[in-house]
Amino acid sequence: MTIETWIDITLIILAASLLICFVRLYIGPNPPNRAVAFDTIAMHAVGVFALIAMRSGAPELLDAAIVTAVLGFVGTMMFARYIEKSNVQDWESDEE
Amino acid sequence: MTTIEWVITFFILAGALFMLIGAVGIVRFPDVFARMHAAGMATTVGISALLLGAGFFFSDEFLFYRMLVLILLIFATSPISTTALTRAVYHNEPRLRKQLRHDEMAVTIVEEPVKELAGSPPAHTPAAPAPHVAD
Repeated sequence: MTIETWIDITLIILAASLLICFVRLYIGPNPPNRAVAFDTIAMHAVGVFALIAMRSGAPELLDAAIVTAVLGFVGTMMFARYIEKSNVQDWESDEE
Repeated sequence: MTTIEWVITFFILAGALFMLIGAVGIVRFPDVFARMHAAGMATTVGISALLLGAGFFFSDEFLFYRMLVLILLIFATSPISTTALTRAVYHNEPRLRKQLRHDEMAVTIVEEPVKELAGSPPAHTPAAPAPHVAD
């Protein structure tokens, strides 16, 4: 097996993991759960950028991975500020 | 496949499996604090291994250092965002606080009015010692 095959297998695993994250984004009963799912999806986007850069031999895509990491951090901080300032007490409980 | 390619394969497979474990934890764990625990820890290790594999893949020294800087950036920013999100959830969902076995933020919340009371007398410093002396 060449290394391209292994990169494809890794991309498939990462795509399955991303689908599982989208399940939490869909069924998450309140905004904090969706914010957690958003944080994880941003990290997955960085990983997918790195893997596609390796698969297509284009190291320029790693710069896009850096920008995506910074934007994911800023977005998660924005969600945290919003949740803290919104002061909503009657969200749906996430106990199962 | 050469040795460096096996090393790259090990790193990217380990990273993808760690991220899969983190995603399963996000869906399976019972409350939002446990989900943040899974999302903060497993994802950080997974993305670090993936980026280290990408740094080894391109045989470019400058690119490898740039991936190391990106790993350092993620190690710095991921705990910050997780802590901010946890504080936001803690302040907004009082029902979840009862599930915590050890609640360190409760001490902070009790101490905050005490600090305000202790901070307010210096504004009235000339008036405050006078009744004390009269006693």
